[in-house]
Amino acid sequence: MRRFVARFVLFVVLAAGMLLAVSSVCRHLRKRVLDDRVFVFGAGITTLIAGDSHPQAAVNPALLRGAENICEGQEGYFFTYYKLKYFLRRNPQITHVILGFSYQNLARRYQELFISSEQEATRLLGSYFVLLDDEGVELLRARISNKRPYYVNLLKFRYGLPIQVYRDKELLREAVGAPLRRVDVPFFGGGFHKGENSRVEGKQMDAKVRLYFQDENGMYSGLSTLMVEYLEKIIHLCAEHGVDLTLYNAPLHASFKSRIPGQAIIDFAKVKDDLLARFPKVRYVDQVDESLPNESFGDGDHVNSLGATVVTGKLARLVQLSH
Amino acid sequence: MTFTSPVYFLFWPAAFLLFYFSRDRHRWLVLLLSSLVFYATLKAPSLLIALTGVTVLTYFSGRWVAAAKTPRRKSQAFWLGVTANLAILVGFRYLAVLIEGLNALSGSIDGGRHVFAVVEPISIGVSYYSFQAISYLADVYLDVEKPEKHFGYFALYISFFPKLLQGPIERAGDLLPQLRRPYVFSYENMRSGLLLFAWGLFKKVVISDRLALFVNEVYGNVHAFSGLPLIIATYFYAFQIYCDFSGYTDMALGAGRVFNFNLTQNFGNPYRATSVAMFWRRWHISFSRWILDYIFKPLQFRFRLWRDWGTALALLITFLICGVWHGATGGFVIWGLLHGLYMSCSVLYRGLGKRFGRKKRKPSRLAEVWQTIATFHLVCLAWVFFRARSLADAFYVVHHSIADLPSSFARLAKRDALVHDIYLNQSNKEFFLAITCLGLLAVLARATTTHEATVHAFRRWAPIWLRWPAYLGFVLAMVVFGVFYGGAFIYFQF
Amino acid sequence: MEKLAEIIRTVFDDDSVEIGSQTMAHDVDGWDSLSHINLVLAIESGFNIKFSQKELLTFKNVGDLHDSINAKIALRQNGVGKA
Repeated sequence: MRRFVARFVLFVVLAAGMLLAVSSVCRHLRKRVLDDRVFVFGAGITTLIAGDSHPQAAVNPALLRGAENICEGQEGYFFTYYKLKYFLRRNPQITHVILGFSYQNLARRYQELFISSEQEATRLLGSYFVLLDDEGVELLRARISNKRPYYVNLLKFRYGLPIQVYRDKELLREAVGAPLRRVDVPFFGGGFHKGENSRVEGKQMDAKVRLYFQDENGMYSGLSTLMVEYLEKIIHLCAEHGVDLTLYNAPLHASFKSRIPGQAIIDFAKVKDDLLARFPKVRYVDQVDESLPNESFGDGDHVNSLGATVVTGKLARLVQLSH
Repeated sequence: MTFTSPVYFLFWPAAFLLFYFSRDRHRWLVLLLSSLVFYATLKAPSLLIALTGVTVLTYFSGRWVAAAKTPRRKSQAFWLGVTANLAILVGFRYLAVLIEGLNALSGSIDGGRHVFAVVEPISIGVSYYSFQAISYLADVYLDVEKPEKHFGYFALYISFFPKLLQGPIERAGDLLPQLRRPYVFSYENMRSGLLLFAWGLFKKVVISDRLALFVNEVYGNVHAFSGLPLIIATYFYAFQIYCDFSGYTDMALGAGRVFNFNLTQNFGNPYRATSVAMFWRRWHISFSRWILDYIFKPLQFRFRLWRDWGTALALLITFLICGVWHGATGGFVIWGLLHGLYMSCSVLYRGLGKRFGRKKRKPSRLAEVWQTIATFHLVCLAWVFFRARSLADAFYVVHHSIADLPSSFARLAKRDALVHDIYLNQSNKEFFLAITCLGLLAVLARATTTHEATVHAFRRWAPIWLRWPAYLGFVLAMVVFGVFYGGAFIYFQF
Repeated sequence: MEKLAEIIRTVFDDDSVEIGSQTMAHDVDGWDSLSHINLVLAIESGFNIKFSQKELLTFKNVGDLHDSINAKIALRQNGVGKA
């Protein structure tokens, strides 16, 4: 029995030591990727373009002075807040943030899918865990009945355990010294999206409007107070860092805008007016009704690269960021 | 708690230490109390009531049967015990399903049962130990075993925690004598128990739960798929359920072995069987032996004047009951009936063959391979009904996997929909890992009949400086490749 | 014993198999629980006796079977049992 206990304890110690060593290496690599690769921009970058797929398609950073587009499709203010928190902290040279601000950003059903669907909440908890603080984690965790995803993510991201590490391309590339690719980091975003096609279709626009603004019964799903809350957090965050904030409403095709429920537009206007009144330093740029030809639209609610060139140029002049 | 709960890794050593440091005459008490605690952590007091009910009723029935003076009294005592156990089983298992069914009807969900819904903790284990109790009563009634007079040992026989939740269903003659043996520390048992447990854990967490990602994607929404992906998902399910259940069995055997108890092996390379009958001799062995001895044999004896047709009928009824034991929905019933059909057809075919004077030949290598593949596919067809969320889904899968095969090959040739059709919407890395796991299983299947034998072989063959790094690598592999959001054990719900 | 062996060989279609008192079911090709009943029926009609289900469970090898057959024949010859 003694021999067995001795060997058993020895094995456990060796296994623990091995895991500890591997975890330290993983933790170190992750930190390096986050702090030195993902979040740090060159000294010349002074403007960030953040938000969801609308500013992702509409604002071409090449046409703005010292700009970088960190938008990610379907990203709501909850996630943008945490992203900006990290970016602003690691890049004191940033002086300006252009944040997408349009009707779908405040639509309740669409924006709160990440917490109404357990599957979505689980997936996003994994992708964004490194960015979230305790409050953010708690928000997601409360929506997931299974306790495991939280603990697994905790072990993985905070303590470095190599769980499913073969999926973390950014980590593997860092380990072999290869440069970071934006697409490997789950929350980093694809950057500026150069849309080449143009397909404005009635049926597709109907489907999109349904997706954004309607609940299961086909009624307007209402305003998301959660998104307004996090938008205000973003405003405070920018103020803290002394960064100018521009709320930017990207162009929509006229027939898309006409499909949006009237109440959604009213709600949006109310929130906008309230915010601009309370935070006079925040600027609002409205290019929703920018009259662009059909060929400049990728689909009903996104411009393509042609349209982006036009609107970015105008935007640049408006915020005095032309080259 | 279950074998994959983190708290189990504290419970097991604690139970062992308590066991080790007690006197021999108290050891049964330590194990019994540990088993009750183990069961109690499922947080369902009704389960403890079921367990107590089964234990007490069977204990007394057993003694009454043996003490009965007349055959009539004996038979009465026996059937009283059996009925009581069946009542508890039906009450706990099917009442829940019935209520759920009524709810579903009133809430108008599609009548199928969600196989992977949150496991109702109402009935975990009841199906297994109630069947075990019935086998005990039958053995006493048929004078094959003497009734256990010591209530403590009997209670432990019923509730021993390694086999409490999902079997194996232990025969009185196998487990009771072991419980009374004085405990002598065995290094070999400790080592092989731990290794076997680790191997079972690997099969569950790395292989089974990984395959589940693919299977759930397809069977969660069958209408989004047609042709090849349906077939891939079904093959994956065949191995998912095998690794899930045989992994659990290995964990159960390992958990019992450190206490020097040898529970019965439940699996023996089932997919290498060359006939469905052989498959059932290798799949869930303790359960198939139970239905063989206590349902099939009596029925076959009763129908014996109808010769092969009698046997065929007995098989159909037996497998119908087998299906219903797994669940009271159409899918399970059809699964059972299919297997019953397979078996009856083979019996009738054999009989016919004899009539026409076909000489028995030893099958050639090629014939054996063909038989193995054919058997595997027959079993997979039945698995479709076992796994699908509803009968409609099952028929969709069966029809569209064949009918749409040409069009899915056409899509593949054009390199269209690779992610959707082959990777089943998962990352390609996970797919290649899944294939690697299946390859590993194939290699092992060729090597030995049970995975335990493989573990033994490795230990005998490899020197210590090779073994320990291999074990450490194994632990690392479990951490890296484990799928930890995996669901509960599949056979939990039975 | 010879008659029993003959019946076994006929039922399982194997003229070459050696039957001794220690022979068990898995020694004979094709003798499994599905076909076992055919052997039982053949023995019952061949020796004009009847088995009960309880008895069938107790036979571990051919020797047990043989002893039981002899016992039943003896009982019948003494005027007890079925004709």
